Amino acid sequence: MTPLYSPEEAATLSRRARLYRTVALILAVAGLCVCVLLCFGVRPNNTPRRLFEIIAVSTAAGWAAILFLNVGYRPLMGTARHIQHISGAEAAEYAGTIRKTGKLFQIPGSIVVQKIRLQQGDEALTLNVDARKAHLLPDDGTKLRVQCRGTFITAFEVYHE
Amino acid sequence: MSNIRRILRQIPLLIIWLMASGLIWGFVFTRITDTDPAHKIAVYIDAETPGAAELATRLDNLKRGGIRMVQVRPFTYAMLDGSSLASADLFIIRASDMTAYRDWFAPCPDGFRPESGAWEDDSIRYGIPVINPLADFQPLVEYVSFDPSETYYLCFGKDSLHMAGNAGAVDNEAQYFADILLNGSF
Repeated sequence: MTPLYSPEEAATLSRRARLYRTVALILAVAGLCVCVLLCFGVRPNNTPRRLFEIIAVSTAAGWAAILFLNVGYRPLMGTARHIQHISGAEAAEYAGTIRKTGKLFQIPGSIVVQKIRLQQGDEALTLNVDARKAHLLPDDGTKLRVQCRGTFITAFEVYHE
Repeated sequence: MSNIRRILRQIPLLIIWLMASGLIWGFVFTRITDTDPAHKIAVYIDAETPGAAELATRLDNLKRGGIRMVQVRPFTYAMLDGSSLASADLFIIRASDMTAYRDWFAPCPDGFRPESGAWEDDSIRYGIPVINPLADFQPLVEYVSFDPSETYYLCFGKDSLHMAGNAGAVDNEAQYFADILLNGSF
């Protein structure tokens, strides 16, 4: 079976997320320290320029920290937590014909999910797959055996009758 | 979601941080670049003062005793806080505004510059000419954008803590700095 998740992936994502968070913290603290140091260099003849410099440094450091946290740390951590969460869900196996619905939705604080339809005779199962991994699934109409944890496809295998 | 879209979704937060950064550091800066009135000399000028920072630096280099700071500001600096204006130690006021601001002034110290053609009200001297368009010696002209048709007077603040004789006065440094401004010895 082709796996879509692995415990190693969760660990790697967590490590990268913590690195982003550390960098954000360092940037924020460094920015604050630079601003405090600039305050000590204030003189009557450089007051307006020094204030501008302090605001510029504070803004730049804050923006960098915000971007590292919200664009780096949070998405990675959300994905890592998702993988850890579904690892504890009930396992099941299904077989049927795949049809990708193209419908995406964002789980708040977590991953973007794509809905997958698995046709089993007259019945259709609606399953979910991490939208980043959806391209790994074969084309519509392919017969698949899938492993699931909860409603999430964690591995698949093409079969021919 | 692509990283570009994630970044674009941060724009409102980035704008909020920019505004917060300006407000917070502006407030902190104002607090750290100021000191209590008992330890500073504040000079307010009734004219645009492009050389205010330079003049303040020069006067600051001459401070003595308990004075930690000298501030030189145009009147427009105190647009939002009239109390700091009225409690200044020294004023430089154009002749046409002397009557309007008369209530802010203390009489000139006895014997201070008796020869100087002071501005008087009820025979009491309140202002000493410091910028006179007809005079040859204009020590402040490179710091102050004065109106060439008016004389400007140096006045003492009635609420100054640096005028001996004022309530709560801690020293007489206002007269010391008045001498410096009138002599141009900065």
